[in-house]
Amino acid sequence: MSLLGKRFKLIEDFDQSTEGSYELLPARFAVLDDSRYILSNDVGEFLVISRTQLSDYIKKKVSRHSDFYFDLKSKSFLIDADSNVAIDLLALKYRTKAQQISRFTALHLFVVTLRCDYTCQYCQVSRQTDDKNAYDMSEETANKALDLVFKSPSPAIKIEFQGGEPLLNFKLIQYIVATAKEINLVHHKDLQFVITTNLSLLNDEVLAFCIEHNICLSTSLDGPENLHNANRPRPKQNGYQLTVDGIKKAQLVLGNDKIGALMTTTEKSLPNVKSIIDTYLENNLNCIFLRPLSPYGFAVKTKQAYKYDVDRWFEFYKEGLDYVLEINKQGFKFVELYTELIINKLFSPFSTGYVDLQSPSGAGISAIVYNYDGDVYASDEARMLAEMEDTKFRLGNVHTDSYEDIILSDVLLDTLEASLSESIPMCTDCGFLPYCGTDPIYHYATQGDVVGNKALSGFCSKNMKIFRHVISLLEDDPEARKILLSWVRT
Amino acid sequence: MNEDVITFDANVFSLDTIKRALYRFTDKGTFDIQVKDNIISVQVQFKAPDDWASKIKNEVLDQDLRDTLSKETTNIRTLILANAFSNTGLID
Amino acid sequence: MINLHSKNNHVLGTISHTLPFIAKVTTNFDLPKALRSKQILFVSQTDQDIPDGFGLILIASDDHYGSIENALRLAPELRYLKEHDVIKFYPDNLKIDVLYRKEANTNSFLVTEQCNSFCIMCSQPPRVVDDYYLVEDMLAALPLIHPDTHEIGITGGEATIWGDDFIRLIQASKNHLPNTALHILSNGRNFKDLNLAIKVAAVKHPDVMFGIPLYADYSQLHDFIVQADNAFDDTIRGILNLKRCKVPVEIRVVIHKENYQRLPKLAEFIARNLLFVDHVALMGLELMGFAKSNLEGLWVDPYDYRNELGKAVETLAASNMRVSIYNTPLCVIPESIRRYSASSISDWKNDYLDECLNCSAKHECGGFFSSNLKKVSDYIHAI
Repeated sequence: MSLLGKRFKLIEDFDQSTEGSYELLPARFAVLDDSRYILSNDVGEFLVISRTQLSDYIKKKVSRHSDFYFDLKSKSFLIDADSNVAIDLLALKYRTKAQQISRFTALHLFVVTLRCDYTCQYCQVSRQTDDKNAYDMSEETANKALDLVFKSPSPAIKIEFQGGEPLLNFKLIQYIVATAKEINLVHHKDLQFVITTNLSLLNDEVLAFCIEHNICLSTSLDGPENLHNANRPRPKQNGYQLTVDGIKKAQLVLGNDKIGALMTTTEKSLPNVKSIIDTYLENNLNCIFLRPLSPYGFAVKTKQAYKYDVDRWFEFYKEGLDYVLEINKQGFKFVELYTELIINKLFSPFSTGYVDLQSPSGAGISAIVYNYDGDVYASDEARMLAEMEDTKFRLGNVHTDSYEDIILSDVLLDTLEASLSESIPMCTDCGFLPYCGTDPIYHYATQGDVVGNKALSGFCSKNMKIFRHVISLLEDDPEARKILLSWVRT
Repeated sequence: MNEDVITFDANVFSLDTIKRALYRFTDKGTFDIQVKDNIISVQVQFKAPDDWASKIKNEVLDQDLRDTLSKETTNIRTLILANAFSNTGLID
Repeated sequence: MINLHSKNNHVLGTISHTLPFIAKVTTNFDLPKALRSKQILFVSQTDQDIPDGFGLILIASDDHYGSIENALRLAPELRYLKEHDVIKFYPDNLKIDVLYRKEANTNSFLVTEQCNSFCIMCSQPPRVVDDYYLVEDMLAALPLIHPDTHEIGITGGEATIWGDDFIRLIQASKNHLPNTALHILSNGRNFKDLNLAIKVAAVKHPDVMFGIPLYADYSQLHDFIVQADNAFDDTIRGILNLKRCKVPVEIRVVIHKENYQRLPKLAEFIARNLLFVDHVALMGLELMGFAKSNLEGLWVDPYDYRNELGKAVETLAASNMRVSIYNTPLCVIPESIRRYSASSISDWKNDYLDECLNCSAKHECGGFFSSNLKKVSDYIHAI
């Protein structure tokens, strides 16, 4: 019985749809757990549903009067005779998500030297030597590289100094910053700089330089002292102490938001995630990135990469995330960065711009590496492969090749095309596709081809475990959900 | 069981559906597929014992659903992508 | 509550006007003679001689006067009028409409009562009538409005049914009041035609915003609430077209029994699909017109939807969208989101309850619609 006046028609009178005759919009699904599935669309909107609901949806048995039907409609999973504006909206949302990639290469890594004062267990590239001529980037190389940097159409450019230990070639960093800024007077790009450094050479001169040019620092902190020093030995000194002293100094002089730390996971890290996180808290760091070990360089040679499998790493990650959420419940905002990335992929209309988890792959088109000798690589991992004598992903050299030669090189284009998630077995119909990425170089290194068989892939296994875990938390743990949603950036 | 033969009615499931389902288990075993008299037979050799037969059957059902979904939405996906990359003027 | 209309005016002599007269009010007895015929003199003190030449004279007192041409004893309920206000005088029935008050917190022009929707909670129910004169009235009033005016509004009915004349109104607003913001209420449906949006944008009004209602995250419910098929699709396409043309858009959601349960999902829908709109207003019901006659089917105590309101605000705010709560007293809004509440009720229809006199938050609170005083939340309490 309608409670409205006689002139007003009922809701049924405005429903032009008929039972069982809706049209499906493009979607994918994946198993979430024993009783649930996740249904997702190309722009990352999703619903967690039962198998029955999934089957009903595809077989068009969902009642048009049910909340499930309204949810499906609202999230662009179906259209009907009553409304099809979802098509316009999907196109717009897809374009929004895809826009970041079209801005092209924003991250440019400059390997200013391979020399290093540390002997880290898992390092793929550094050289223990004082011979500056052998392994330092020259001004000439830097100039040529900068020419290529500014050929990128991206309105934002981030130049990241890598090594070895970049501060061992501080003069060149100064040169590159000054030169880049000068060139940018014409281009007006949003230009930013980051130095990844172990901080042992952080002195007042370097700090002053960072202040003057608004440069951020990124360092490695693997955990508490004994763990950090075991992973990252520095001959004759306490590397851990140097690092935390450096962090403190940088925070004081540059500000807390100008220094960040990353950790690398090793066999020794696995039982110690809580003390690793505690170390971060003690050093005034408000985020951590629980990274897996990559299968390149010295890591493979020392069999680090095979020392633990994805399952064991995942336990490490789960325990770490639990602990992080506990910290948040106690009122302190501490973020696990990979989880934050996934949360943003689930809830943000925008692309995250994280080059290592996107399709098409970020190799070359989102990030690119200029090595000390002028060789150009599609990614840092590609450079590490070259250190293992496999130069498959070397795109050219700044001294001999033009921008077009490098960006349009066959190896790059073929790799990008072949590894596109939308056209790979298993990925193409996976419900997690919008949140995942493609990693051609990882699969080449581990399976011998850029696509790989995802059933055998550690990359796939790791990511699926994380997606399932995070989505289950969102669905089943309201407190965790609230904290995780507060990590969405716009 | 380390070995098994699982059969599917070829009138109900396409060969493509079967293959896509089996692909997801390539880390768990090896498969030989034969078709005879409208029956698809899959001879499986598992690396480790488990109830893989029922898991495979469930996966085949899932792949069949995916097949339906994909067929129904191919055209509209093309339409949406074409629209997405036309000049919508809504993003700078 | 302030009256904006009254017929309770009495002549004090002959009236020479034969047609309705729109003019601005002045208290300046010494206004240069050449200007007087187009202005209306407001007289509140009785010890002055009434000068000649004014288009109309309003005596705002009950003192005795002799016969004066073109003079009225002003209705007591209109004696709040001040210098710079603009009124319309009808000589045939002595009615005065107040079109503009300089001191009002907002001034809106009703440009039609016709509408292509029929919302179940409409506070200005549509009428099928030829009211083009309302467009002419606004065009006549615009040049008279004080240039310091902060904001004017266009309401209806559905203003866009006037097509090119609607565009004329925007153009005239820009011409006469280039420093005044223009807020237009519209259901947005006619903007499904991109050309209309292009025409609006072409005026290049420096500060215009369209307030467009969206009541649900799926078509069947929205179409029912506005009682029109395809309204949901049309409205969304209209919003997209306006934003394509870079015209500012605000989404307005009136909350009532039919749609409060899905409010959090509507917020998610807006945050995901319409992220580029300039503002979202979540609004309490104004119990006038159909909202009053359909009260039984519409009323839900705002206190009872406080959780849904909280979730919706959090979703929109987390997406960095500008969001406000309108027309809802602070005491029934969860404390965590009170900062999103804005005092939004036009002053002429704004009131408070006795309970409010003791409230520490009265100054920040928007209070009530005058028309709502008889039906308020069960949970009103002084903070």
